[in-house]
Amino acid sequence: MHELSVVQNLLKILERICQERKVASFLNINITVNPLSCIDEENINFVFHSLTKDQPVYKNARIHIRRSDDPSSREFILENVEIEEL
Amino acid sequence: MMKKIKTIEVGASIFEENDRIAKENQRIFRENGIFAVNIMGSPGSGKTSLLEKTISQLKGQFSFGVIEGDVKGSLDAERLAALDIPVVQINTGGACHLDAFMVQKGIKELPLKDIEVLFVENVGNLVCPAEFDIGTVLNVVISSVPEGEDKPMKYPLMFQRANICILNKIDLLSYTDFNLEQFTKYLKDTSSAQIIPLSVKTGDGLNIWVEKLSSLAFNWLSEKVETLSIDWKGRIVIVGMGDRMKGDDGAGSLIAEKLAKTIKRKDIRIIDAGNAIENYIGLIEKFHPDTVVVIDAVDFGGSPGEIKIMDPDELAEFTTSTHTFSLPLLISHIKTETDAECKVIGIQPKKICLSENISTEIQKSIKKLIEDLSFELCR
Repeated sequence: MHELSVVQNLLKILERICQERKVASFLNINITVNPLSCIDEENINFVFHSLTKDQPVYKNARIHIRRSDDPSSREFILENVEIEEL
Repeated sequence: MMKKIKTIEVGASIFEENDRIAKENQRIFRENGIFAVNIMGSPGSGKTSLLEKTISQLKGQFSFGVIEGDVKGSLDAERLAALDIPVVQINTGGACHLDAFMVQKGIKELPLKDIEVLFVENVGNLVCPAEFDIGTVLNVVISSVPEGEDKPMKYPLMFQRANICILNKIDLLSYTDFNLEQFTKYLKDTSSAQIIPLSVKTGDGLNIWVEKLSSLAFNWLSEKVETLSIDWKGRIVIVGMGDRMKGDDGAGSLIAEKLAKTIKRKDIRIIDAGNAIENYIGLIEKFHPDTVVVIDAVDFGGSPGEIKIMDPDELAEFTTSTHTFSLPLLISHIKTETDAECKVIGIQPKKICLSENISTEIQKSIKKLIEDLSFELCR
């Protein structure tokens, strides 16, 4: 339900990466979440592509959600991002 | 042309911006002496009614303020404003939760100096509000009998985040198939929240909640202390060190002994290591902690009894009392073996000599630390 907030925050980080590197395209985006989190991988990809449909750099991106086994962890951690460089 | 594919390690929290603002909110609450409570629960569980009753009962004792979060409208805010207290309505415009930023906007519209207890009534929802830290000191979730006993099992994160779980509408127990025992069991499976069954309508059990809230608020407000600013994440080990035969040096050991009696959580281990922490390394590592906090008398040149939270590297500059083992070395060993976040709570000793007596200043700090730690960890 709060996929929108997650994606908006994620995009801020990705935009920062764009400024630091020559990114042609984002590919695999790996996120670790709390095991109790209700976030859904399909939903989050849907929201992500809806928000970014005018920006070709995100066209091939795919978000992968992995659940950690620590129920007391808070954050959604953006572990790593695979990019194709210019 | 070859495509160049690279993996960039980020390792950042996606909510870093939210968490940063939540910390700011926390600071604002602390500076203004405001006990802030996040009230969460399903739509219709009785959040607003509970606040109405609670505020009416405690109005003589504390001054209140409310931040009211709703997707749309200001019905709830109007109900609470009728109690003659400052209320700010935040409309999330579709969002299913309040985040730290929205709460901060609300804070800025309130007369902070006149508020001692601030309720933040979150958007009615058992999913999203749990994900967003808004900087409050106490998290309360309200569930109600008609919702059924399975809610803690179906929405575990919400219940896990809560310090107190109120079960409302117990006057309806005899009209429903609600199983209180099963509810308690589901709750205990994910959460160490205290459960308070009550009925806002009949007032049954309400006193237990009102008294609990008022004592928590009273303690927090009268202390006006900074929180320890330790990020208590995951499994926690607290090690108290010191030689009880050497005056103030025994502080850490004494604190651990007392804490072990008050904090009973499966995910926290408290060790009174005396003057031989080296004997407990195995025990600490086997617990697989994410956070390790060592409490010890440290001569950092402060005034007697002063408390200082330190990173292990900082510690190397100071003499850590009289232990034979090098504490910085030991901590760095624990850090490597467990990958845990390590912190040291240093207490400035006054005298370290052959004596079983502890100086008055240090006794005060011991008492304060025990209270602070118990509060921060009494979930």
